Amino acid sequence: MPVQRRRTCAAVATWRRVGLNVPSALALEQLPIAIVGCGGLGVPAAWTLVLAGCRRLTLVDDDCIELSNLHRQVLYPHAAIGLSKAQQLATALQARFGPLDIHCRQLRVTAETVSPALNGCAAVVECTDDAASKFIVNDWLVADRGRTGTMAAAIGRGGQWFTVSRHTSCYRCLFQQPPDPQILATCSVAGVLGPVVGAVGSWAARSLLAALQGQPDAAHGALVRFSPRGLLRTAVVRAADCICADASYRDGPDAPNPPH
Amino acid sequence: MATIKIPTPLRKFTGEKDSVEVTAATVGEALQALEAAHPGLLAKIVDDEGKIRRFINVYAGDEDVRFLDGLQTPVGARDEISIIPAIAGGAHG
Amino acid sequence: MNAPRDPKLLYERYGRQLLVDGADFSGQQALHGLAAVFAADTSEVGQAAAQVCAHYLVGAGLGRAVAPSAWAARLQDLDPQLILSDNPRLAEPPVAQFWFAQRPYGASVDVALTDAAQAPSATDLDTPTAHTTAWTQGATGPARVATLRLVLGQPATADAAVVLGALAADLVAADVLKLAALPALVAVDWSDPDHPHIEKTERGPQQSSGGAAAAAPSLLAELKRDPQVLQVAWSESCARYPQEACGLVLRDAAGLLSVVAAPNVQDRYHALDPQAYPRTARTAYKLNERLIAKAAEQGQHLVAIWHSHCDAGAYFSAEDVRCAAPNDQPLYPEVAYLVVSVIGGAVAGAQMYHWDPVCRGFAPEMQPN
Repeated sequence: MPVQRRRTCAAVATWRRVGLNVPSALALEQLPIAIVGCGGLGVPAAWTLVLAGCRRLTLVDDDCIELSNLHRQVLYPHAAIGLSKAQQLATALQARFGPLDIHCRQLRVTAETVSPALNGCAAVVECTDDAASKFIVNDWLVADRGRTGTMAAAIGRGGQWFTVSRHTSCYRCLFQQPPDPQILATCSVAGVLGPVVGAVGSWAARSLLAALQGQPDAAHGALVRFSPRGLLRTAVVRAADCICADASYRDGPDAPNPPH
Repeated sequence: MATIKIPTPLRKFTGEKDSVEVTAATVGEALQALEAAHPGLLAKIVDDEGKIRRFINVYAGDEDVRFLDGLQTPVGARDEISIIPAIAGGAHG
Repeated sequence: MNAPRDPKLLYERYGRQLLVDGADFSGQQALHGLAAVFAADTSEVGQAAAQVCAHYLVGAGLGRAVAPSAWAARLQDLDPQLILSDNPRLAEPPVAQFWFAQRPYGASVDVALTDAAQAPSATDLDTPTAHTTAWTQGATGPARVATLRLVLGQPATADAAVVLGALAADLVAADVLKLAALPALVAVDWSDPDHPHIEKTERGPQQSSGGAAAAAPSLLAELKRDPQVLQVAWSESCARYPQEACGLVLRDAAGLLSVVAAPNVQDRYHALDPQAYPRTARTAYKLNERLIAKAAEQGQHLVAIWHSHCDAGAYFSAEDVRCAAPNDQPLYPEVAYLVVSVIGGAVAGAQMYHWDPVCRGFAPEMQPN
């Protein structure tokens, strides 16, 4: 039986250095986590976080539910078509898991809105189908050092996720800038299978939780891809010319933890 | 007869043939003859303005016709015209 | 069997799913005709995974569901057309039965898929638990049986339920939508963070024991076996710095790999037409594609195209993607791309990329650990 290796990774050391205990389920209850994009990936990510014991969520999405979303965004009732995704996800989670501390922000993350939208959050799961948004969140994580985030994407019968913290390479080490939207296939042209997005969104959230709890995780500083061919992990080395290579970010003090 | 070499992605137009023989005096005429024999193929090679597409190269012998007279490049009876998808790229988005 | 759904509604509701390569209306109607029974042991992860799986299958277009009344109504909220029951006896074939359970290594789900033509007798459909016992005893019933294991190295907690439930729904949805046949065994192994992998054993006349490999063998690892081979690319990349170098990776009839350098003709194109070719060899490469035909005449088959990035990482840049797959159509789908990072005149790293037809993008190659 393979046994999970318990390595003391850099994140644990950091938590200890700043005088925090390694977060347990109890600490997860207090940890404010944002989900950017409450669609096919955001729904399973939120579901996973709450099952893991998270109680404080910020849900960011400016979109409304459409009939064609329901095959993969399975926490939304048919009757909620036309209503706000962020609000409806909050309602669905409260109905299933009792009172939770949820803030809804009905907006799209841009370079201007990212800071106020994610203000006070200790960690982020980026779940939109917009490549530019992943770079905006990545840059916020790097600029607001000490935050941890996971970027998720899915299309067709596959998907990928990547977890960024101060101790690893960042999304820009892997992709220098957002791809040209014209050459990027989106779910609206390439299609997407509901259960696959579910697995990818949940995996992304689990990766974030592992990184927050100081456990070794496959996607921490690495791109993990899931497709019918299997799982593919590619470790990403910090690029020397990347924004995250700045010494004050890499080796400097952590940002203060958001107030509990 | 000049020979036109067809790349794999375009062979669906030629019934999987990897080369087509045409009679023509210039590269442009050769491509017109190719279109007449296998309709639909020309649009994959040249754009609406009749220019060779950015990601396609047309070689007369070993030289890209862009450096010769383009579609007016003369072809001899034994010449080989190759249509090849471009291999290119570069750093920094 | 349910009456088929209105095609217009099918398209509006399942359009994104119908766009997936291989999916069609007949598969969608077949899913509408299917019943599913969701059951689990008493563990938190098992109970939650059954709910998740039910949500995803109903979302995907399941016609009938048998689920505990405690949460079955939520499925009806998701799809008002769903026919719902809490009595497994009412689930007539075709039927998929799920049994989720916590295990010492993580969690698992057993799936039995019974096709319409092979209806079991009513006594076979007693309770899901009884059915599960029959499967584990190796009963050769009419159903196709599959097991999915989520291997975590320790008993799974509730937060693993979404992954398990969604993957279970994927197994059955992919089979009914005719995207991939139900395998015999899938082990999703997450116990080693450096090497997550999936082992799949397909059913069939010759059941392979080891399961399909998670990924193709690494071409870069094969190249690295003989240091002399890659040295060509390394020294050319350094010699051309600060301009990009490029070339081909070829395989001969005996299977041996070789690396050749090619002149970077980008500057020639830039000089001819700076508008169409705004970049110089400092940040771009182009090679004479006739070299491929010439290599082929020598019995050398193109397996990869390599180029260097100067003072930049070994990433597959947006420009690389734009040139290798304009309009999302790969020009050389069977050919890999090797990118060499040269920083300050020295090779800093390299990465091999392959076109992934499923994700429609270039994926870095997994390196053996």
